[in-house]
Amino acid sequence: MSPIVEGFSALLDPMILLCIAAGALLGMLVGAFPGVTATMAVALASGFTLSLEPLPGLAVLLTIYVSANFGDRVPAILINTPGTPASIATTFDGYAMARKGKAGLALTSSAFASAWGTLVGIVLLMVAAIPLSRLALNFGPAEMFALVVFGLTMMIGVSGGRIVKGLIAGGFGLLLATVGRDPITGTPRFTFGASELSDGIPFIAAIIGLFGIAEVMNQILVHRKGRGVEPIKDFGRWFPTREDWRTMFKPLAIGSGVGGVVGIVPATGGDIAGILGWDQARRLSKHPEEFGKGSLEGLTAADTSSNSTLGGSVTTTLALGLPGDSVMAVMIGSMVVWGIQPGPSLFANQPDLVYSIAGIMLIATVVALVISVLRMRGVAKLLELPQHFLWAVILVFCMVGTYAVNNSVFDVAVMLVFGVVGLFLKRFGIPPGPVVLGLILGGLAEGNLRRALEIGGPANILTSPIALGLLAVSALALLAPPLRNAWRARRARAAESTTTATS
Amino acid sequence: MGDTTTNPDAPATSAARPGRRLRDLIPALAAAAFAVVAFVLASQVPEGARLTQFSPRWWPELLAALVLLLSVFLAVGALRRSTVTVEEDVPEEATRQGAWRLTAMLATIVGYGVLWYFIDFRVSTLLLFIALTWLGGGRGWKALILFPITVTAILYLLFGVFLRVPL
Repeated sequence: MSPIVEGFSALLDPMILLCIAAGALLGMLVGAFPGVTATMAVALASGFTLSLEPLPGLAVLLTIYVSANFGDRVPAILINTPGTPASIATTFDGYAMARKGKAGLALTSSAFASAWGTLVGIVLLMVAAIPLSRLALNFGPAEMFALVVFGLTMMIGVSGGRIVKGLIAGGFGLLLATVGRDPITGTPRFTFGASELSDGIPFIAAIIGLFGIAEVMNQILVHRKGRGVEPIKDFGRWFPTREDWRTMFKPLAIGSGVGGVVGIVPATGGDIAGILGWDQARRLSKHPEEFGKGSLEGLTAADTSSNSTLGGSVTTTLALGLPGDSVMAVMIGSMVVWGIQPGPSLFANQPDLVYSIAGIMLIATVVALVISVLRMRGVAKLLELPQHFLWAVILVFCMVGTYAVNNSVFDVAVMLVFGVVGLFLKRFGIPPGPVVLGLILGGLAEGNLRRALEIGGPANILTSPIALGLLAVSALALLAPPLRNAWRARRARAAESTTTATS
Repeated sequence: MGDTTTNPDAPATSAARPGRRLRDLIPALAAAAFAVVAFVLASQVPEGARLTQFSPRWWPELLAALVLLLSVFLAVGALRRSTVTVEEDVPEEATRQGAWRLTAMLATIVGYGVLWYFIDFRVSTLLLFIALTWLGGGRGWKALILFPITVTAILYLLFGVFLRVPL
């Protein structure tokens, strides 16, 4: 049977459709609550989906991933607060539209743009995943090590001005990954005689702590009574006219292109793509002055671009074993527990999985679009729910979910410790993404580096064009931001001294 | 002045939102301490039979040295010049009430862990929900009775009945 037929027919199981429905509702809800990110929701859901078979489990997690990227537009448009980081650029024009009495149009157009973007990403996944994994199958230890370094540095490189802190976070994660047995000799390291640590730090617990518990702890710490923006109540008309569709056509194309490219780059997600897509559409628009003031073009470009990254992120994650974004970093953890090892050999051995995943995302997109169009008014009501309900639910679900993975209280304790660590990272501006990435990819990095060096010494890495290329791009990703800042500062100083001299 | 002392939303301390320099110095010191401890512990890892060129100590020692180097770099940078301000870097200010609430919630969670050993999951979880909602500011029968009972029931049905987790 062809992998396409096999992949799609696996989705006919009613259990999977039920999981997609549950994931869509959950994703829309978490997306609509500011402060609950898709990463956090997927981390949380990992706890209970691990008891499921891999495909239904993936259906829940992937659907949360897709539909959270629809639900998060609601608070972005109605209260100017992104539901998840992926909808930052939605606020630029979405809220301005809502204030002009076009909230209904903004919500519906945003949903259509998000659906289009996701579909573009899914097509990219179906076209690029298998060739990319076949290419990566030729990679030896030197190339695999370079690939891991590339993934890690990409995540650090996009951490704003926090390069050194990002590197420390990555190093911290890699060090945490050394807990357990040595990947070559099997010698126990840092286990302190605890059998629970012989397989390493339980990373689902660590991830839930870093992304779920830490976020709630921070919200509790900074919460102030009576703060927040009153949601918009006047929605105006809901559906785009023919004229609106014509306006949306160009930004749909621009957003798809930008998001597709950004999605393929490891560790870059919808937040970056949304902003880049919005900016690119502004540059190419006939009315750039309207951007940021309620432009339908701006809203469309931002949401299309942000959601076009989804397929690319899944492609990079599954074909190369490198997380496409932070949600994928969390999802890798669950996949490994299910026995699905993302990486070049996955699609070579199971090509039907590409189409199953694409099918899940496709159905999830349709369901999320339908919910978005029909129930936006209902989702908007959620914004009025007090936060203490959310805190209690997240804290308890995190604990019970973590316990459920291995029926282990030790895991719950690890999760709480990582929650405190995550809070520390958050308060001191250290990105948690590289910690998780280091923790997940540490074994792969160490094993491949040691194998590469055993086989032919450093020359083994230095004579591989692929490894050298990846390492060069990694170095560039780390060095470019500080060099660019220094260059800008120098230019500003030079301009200032010229002005002083002239006056 | 009275406002500052009585307002529960007032900043807990000046360290509630660490200054720009402290935001680099404290993590640098923490990372350095962690790296030193990791290096010392790594040097105590048994070498084994040395079947390969690299001992099990090699990678963690290398990483610990790297983290130490980076933390020194971060600390020196923080002391020598003002760091680049990244808007998303600046944490939102913590409140005194928030700090108390968080401490109380964590203590409640630890208490729940102990309670779980002695009484039924459903009862202990119900009590936990009531305590967390109350600490979070929830009042009234809907918040303290209806909500905890509903969520405990959902939680038990999902994990205990549907997923058959031994709770």
